[in-house]
Amino acid sequence: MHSSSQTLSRIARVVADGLGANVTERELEGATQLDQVIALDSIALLEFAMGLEREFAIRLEPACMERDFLIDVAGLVKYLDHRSGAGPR
Amino acid sequence: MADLLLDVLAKKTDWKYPLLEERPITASSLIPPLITLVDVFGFLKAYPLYGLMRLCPDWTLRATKTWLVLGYRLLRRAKHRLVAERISQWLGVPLDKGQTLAWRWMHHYTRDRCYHLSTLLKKSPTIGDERSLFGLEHLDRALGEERGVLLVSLHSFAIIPAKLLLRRMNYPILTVRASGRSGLGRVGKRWLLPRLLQLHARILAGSEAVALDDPNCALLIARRLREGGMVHLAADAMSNSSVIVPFLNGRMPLSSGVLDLARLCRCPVLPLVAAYTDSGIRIELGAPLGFRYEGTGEECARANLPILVAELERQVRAFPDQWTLWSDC
Repeated sequence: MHSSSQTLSRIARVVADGLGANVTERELEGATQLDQVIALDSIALLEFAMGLEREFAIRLEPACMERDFLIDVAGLVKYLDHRSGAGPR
Repeated sequence: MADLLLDVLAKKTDWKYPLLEERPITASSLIPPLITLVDVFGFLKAYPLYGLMRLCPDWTLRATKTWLVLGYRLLRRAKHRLVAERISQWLGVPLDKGQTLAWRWMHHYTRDRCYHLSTLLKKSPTIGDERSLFGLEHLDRALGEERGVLLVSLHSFAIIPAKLLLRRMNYPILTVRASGRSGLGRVGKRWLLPRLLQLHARILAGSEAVALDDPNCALLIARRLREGGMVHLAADAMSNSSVIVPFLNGRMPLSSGVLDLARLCRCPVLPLVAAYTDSGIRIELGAPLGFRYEGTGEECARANLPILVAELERQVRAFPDQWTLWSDC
């Protein structure tokens, strides 16, 4: 499995576990912005960010704790690939 | 989370549904009118009245304060009656005691308006010193854990001067403010809102604030906490996550955001009480609330909600004439 695909699947798991929404990897792949597939208020976004940190065993940098960054699916996958060592450095 | 809190509290006593369910959203409710009365009064306050007050010498401000107190007591008798009845009913005290407390409440109300007026006009009102502060050791100990500190209070009259005093003592606090859009029409939101926010920032006297409706609100709070800083939240603030909970002998909206933020950031939560006294203000910082963070979000809420409600009830009982929302609850 390609690392980005794996990452998408893990993001979908974070959304399902943390936010209780049944979002598939396929749906995420088709979306440019996360809020196209799930409604995210301010607290939900924080829940999502914390879920990502647990799932990928990383700590998001302060600059990444922003809505625009977190809902940009392609950018987020690239970042998580990079941080978890799966993608190109 | 809101549904969960409803379930938790349904087991405690009788109660109502979330505010959003009580007020169904319709297409017409989403589009505000072109101009509202709030726009008109906001304009008068922000421009001609403010300009006039700026031109007046200091003694007129003192005279204004006196007339404001007298005028408010004379003209707002209906409000006094309402507050007296609420206090009597919610605290279970005789009506005559409720009336006494309501007069004191009105006194603090006018005092607070005068404080706002003074800061608005940059007159630097006296707000007290470190002798007004109790329980600072709790805050120092909590800050020493380097996980940030959430300060939780109700909307009380003296909360803004209290935060200003803490800031002057090198305890800067990030605060969450209302959007300021409430009641404004389309014209007001477009043209008046920036000016009103500018004046509100002057009242906050340089304190950092994030708007409740900022999409980054929770993330900014989390960032501040991770840096080891302090954030103040008023648990009775109205927000999308507000639910109505049993409170004293009545019901009030409680923001579940406090519980969510505490759980997600795993930071200590300290109660903050601010009250006007005869000589200035009194600030009390309590020991961290015994929140537990084990288990799921649901389990955390079940464990922590009664602790939060009990603390807020204690605050109102301790200073019954200081809670601003008696007239709105």
